[in-house]
Amino acid sequence: MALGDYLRSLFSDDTPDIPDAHRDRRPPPRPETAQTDALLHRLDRILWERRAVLSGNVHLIGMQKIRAHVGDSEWQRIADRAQDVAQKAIQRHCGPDDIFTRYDDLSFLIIFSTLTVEQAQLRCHEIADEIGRRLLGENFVAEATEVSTGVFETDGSLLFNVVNKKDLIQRLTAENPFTGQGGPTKRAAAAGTTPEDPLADEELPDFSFAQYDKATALATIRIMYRPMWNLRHKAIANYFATASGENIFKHRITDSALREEYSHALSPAEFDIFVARSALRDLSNGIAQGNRVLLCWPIHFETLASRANREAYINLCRDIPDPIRQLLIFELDGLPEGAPQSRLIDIRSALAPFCRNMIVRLPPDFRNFGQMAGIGLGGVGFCLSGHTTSDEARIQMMNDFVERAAQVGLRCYVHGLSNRAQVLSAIAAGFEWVDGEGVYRPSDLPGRMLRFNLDDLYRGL
Amino acid sequence: MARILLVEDEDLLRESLVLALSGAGHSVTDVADGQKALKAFETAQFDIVVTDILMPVTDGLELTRLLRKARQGLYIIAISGGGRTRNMDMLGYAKSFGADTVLAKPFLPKDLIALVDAAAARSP
Repeated sequence: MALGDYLRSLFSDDTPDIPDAHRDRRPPPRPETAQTDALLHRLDRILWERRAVLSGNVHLIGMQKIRAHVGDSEWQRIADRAQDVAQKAIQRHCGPDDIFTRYDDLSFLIIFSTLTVEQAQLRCHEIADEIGRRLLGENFVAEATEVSTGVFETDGSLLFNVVNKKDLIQRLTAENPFTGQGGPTKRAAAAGTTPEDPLADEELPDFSFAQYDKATALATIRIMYRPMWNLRHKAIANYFATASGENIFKHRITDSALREEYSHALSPAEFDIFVARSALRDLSNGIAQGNRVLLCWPIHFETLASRANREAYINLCRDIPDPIRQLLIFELDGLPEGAPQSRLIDIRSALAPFCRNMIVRLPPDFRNFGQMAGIGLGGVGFCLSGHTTSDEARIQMMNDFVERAAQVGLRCYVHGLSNRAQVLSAIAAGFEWVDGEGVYRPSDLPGRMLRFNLDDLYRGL
Repeated sequence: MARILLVEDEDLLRESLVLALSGAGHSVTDVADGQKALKAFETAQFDIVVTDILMPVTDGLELTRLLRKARQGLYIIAISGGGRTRNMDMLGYAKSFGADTVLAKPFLPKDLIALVDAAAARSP
């Protein structure tokens, strides 16, 4: 049965109000019976609540381009894992009344219950970008995953039109700007849809499987050091320790993407402790060779959230000699939206004896900078890579972030600048620290303290 | 009349500068980033380049450096609004990278026309 017929049969006007009767009229089961049952169960709920399913409310996320990118034979090897990644990404973005199902090996079908067509399309693009980043790692390009929206034609047929993200954003900006109201996830939260859906957890089949055991996962992680350019002092004196590894496609992924990729094998605390131990060892070796530099590493909020993990981490910190502590900057990552300032103060107080300073990595559209002010943070920042489609949009994102942070006197940093144009824009925006391939290549060990200015940035041209 | 390549990513400003410079009797080709500017040099000759510094893809400093290396006689005017920040004087760097003169935004069209006319008068 064609998808259009399949959907039309589910949403036809003569569908009885009684769920049991509706079930009798549904089409023959498709191969993915568990998921299809979950979909139908939710459709029953929506129809039972007499919500109209209108043209434009049905969206498809397709991974055809990713399959083409990696090749058919490679895709066969990792198809299950890719579907697992996609399903979890979709699940994270869906609220309790939204429904989704795998349609075929490369596509997922999603119906959002409360979003407008454009909001839903934008949400689909966020999901699609997340899938693309997870699967392609640093080879990710914008719109590697395709988004389409189903539209009923006058003859009753259902056609899927590809939704271009740039056009969509332009349309949203022109017709109904959301500027100043937070991202679509926040809007959905305001509308009462949250990703917490116990029913969804219950119904979704678990596709996850362990790619690596703990020892293998740890053995594959490589710690790289990204030089952070201090623009005020025109020097590189701080190196950011970042975990680097490969996803199942053999693409290089770093930081939080790697943490998530290995989450089946390593808890956030295990991941963070491994990074910290490795970085401490490399810093100590560097100091022995006369390279005394500042070192920054990430700590995920979850590592510090539970008492057991927090104690394990603090115990590690207690072993750090005093002279080394003066060289350490901790970057708090994964701070949940709406975390109270008192929680931040607790974390800051717990870590303060072991480091020179603490900085906080935030989402680029973060707005509540008031809660970050006055608690002694060294700075706030975000990672630019993979966040949007064009340099123009990235530049705007940087300007907006610094402007909001500066209103409460916070200093800013940005990770992941990939070219000189982005670096210049970051400087003009007012960031105080910048890093990424566009600034200076990462290395296997923390390097030396360097004088660094714009001449050095353009050396070689 | 000088042959001018105008490199500016802000559409409205670029269009208004094209009008102003054309109105002053110059021949103007306009592009939106440094990469397109380098392409334009493959097919046409220019006497003067007016380039913004903060642009996507290939920025004005990179463009200035590459053009100065390839074309000694070219007159380069760098313009920028975010070029002088607390931490970095990018217009100063533009000069050290090979720009003949710099102009901080905001400026009046007549200021740019005066610089262009002076540069054109110096051309052999």
